[in-house]
Amino acid sequence: MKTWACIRSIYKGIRVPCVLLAFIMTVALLVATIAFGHYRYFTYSRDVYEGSGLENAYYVAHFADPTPDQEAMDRELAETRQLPGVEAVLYDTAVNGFTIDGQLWGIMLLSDSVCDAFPLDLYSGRSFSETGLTADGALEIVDASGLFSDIALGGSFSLNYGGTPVRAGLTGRIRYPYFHINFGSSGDVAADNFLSAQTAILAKDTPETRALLEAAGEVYYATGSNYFVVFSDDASRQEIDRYLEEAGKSCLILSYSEILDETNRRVDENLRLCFPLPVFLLILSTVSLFSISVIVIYRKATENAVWYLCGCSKRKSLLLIFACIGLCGAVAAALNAVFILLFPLLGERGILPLERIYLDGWSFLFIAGYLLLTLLIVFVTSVLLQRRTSPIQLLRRLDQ
Amino acid sequence: MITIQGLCKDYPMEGGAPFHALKDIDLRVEKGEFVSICGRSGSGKSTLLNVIGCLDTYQKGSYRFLGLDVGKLNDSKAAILRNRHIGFVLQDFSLINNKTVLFNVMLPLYFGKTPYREMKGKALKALEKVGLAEQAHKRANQLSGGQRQRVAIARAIVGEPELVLADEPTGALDSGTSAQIMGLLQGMNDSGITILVVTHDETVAGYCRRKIVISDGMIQSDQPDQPKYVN
Repeated sequence: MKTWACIRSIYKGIRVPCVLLAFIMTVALLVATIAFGHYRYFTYSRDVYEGSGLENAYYVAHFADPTPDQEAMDRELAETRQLPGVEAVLYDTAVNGFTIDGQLWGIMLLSDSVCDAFPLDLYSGRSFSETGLTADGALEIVDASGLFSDIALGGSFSLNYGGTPVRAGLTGRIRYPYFHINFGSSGDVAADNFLSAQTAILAKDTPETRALLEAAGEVYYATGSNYFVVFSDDASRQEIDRYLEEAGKSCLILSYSEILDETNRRVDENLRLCFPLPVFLLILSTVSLFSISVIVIYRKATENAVWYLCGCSKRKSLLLIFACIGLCGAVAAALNAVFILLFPLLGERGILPLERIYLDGWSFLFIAGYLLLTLLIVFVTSVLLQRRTSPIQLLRRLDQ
Repeated sequence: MITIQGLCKDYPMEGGAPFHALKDIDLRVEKGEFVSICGRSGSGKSTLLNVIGCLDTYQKGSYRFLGLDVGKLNDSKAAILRNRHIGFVLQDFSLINNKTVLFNVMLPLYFGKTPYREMKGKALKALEKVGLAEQAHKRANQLSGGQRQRVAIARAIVGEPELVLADEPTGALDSGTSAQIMGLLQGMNDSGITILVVTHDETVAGYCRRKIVISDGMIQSDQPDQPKYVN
């Protein structure tokens, strides 16, 4: 109570500079947090890609227009799976025709190998079981849309398929902005192209889940025309080259390293494009912090001397001034931390739908790092200036 | 209460020998005394007062206050000693001008052990003793010089210290107001507070019962004195 009263008394006369400082720091940190979130989106997708275990894989993108129909794709994928040296084929399939709250939705089916290579970014619940069905035979759903926010994890509900209900159970949730796999890109493909921030309902692609869906009626699958071909470790170079030559006639083929090079190029480009403004603003706010610290300490030096006279030690007065100015940085950090926490909510409600932003624990660390830096600057400034304006010297000067 | 032996205080000078502000000071002050420390400007009397008040350090000798060896105290412990046992009244009043009289008087209590809810009551009591309780909510810079010095006295005694140090307490005041202030200090002394007054004014020294004359950093004389003026 007493300490807070002392801090309040320090603020008297310097409220405007402190509010200005807190405002500058909040804005600078917000811009930096968004830029960092943007950068983190690229590095996060690179991390996911590097951890995917696809070093022996090639990304195959059809460039013919029109792309093959469903039957042709099914055939192509089945044939590719049978080729010597091929370990797996990663593709995405959607099944459309579901109605939820009067709106048509598709369910994206993800195979085991896709889930292994690109694990779901769950913030609650778990990923799919082996069969993709719950213990009582309902379709396991991972929510990447926010549609099922009022259903508890493990809760059951029904999906309407052409008037026929399909039983489903909520297994997990992906946080906004709902990153999940997307093999829709062609051309200069990088890791961030494989992670799409779009609303989706996810289920597992297994014979069991397909049987459940087909029992509800005639099902129309839509398999993407791009996919990964994963070769086994003991696939020979001739087997791989033979496939690449054949597939290259109708498809763009990209190796793991080519995609990673393009990914790194984009990360660097993003650094160059996105960070100059936030860095400038952060420098501006740091300089403001230093300037205002100096102003505050000099303005309060006489008052400080009186405190000293009344029994406040130099250490305590230093800590009080430090707390007063440091609070401005803490307010900026706290507001930005709240922004990070509320970001999914703001995005879901369409209030602040920023694209290609990934805010996670690293964003908090970034804010904490900046707060520590500001506190260090304030502390060092306070110590150095206190040495120059010793209370006893001030009292002597006042008495003269 | 105060025992000083062989105390020396130096100030470093740029590129030269240090300036000896106090040289071999021996001084003993008992509880309840009313002492004046007189001397010309630059004689070292304010320096001596600052050392006694634990505002400044010394290089040689020993200083014991209430049995404590002050030389061994760090800044925090010295601050505690100052807060609990010593009050200050300075020439320029040393008030925080843009704060209220009440806040100024409460200031020592912020750094002491008095519970927050009791601080206001204690401060008002101290203001009553100096006759300024009605001015509690005025800002310090709205008061006259004499009133401000009375606020400073109230602040000095709010923590019920054993010792009050006054450095030229009437230096900025007219003779009439000076008499009032010295009368207040005499009254405080009568209630048991030990008071040391630094002054170059013989009239002010006339209120005290002991006179120490200091010159060039050394005590020249130390004699009991009959107060010429009584409140």
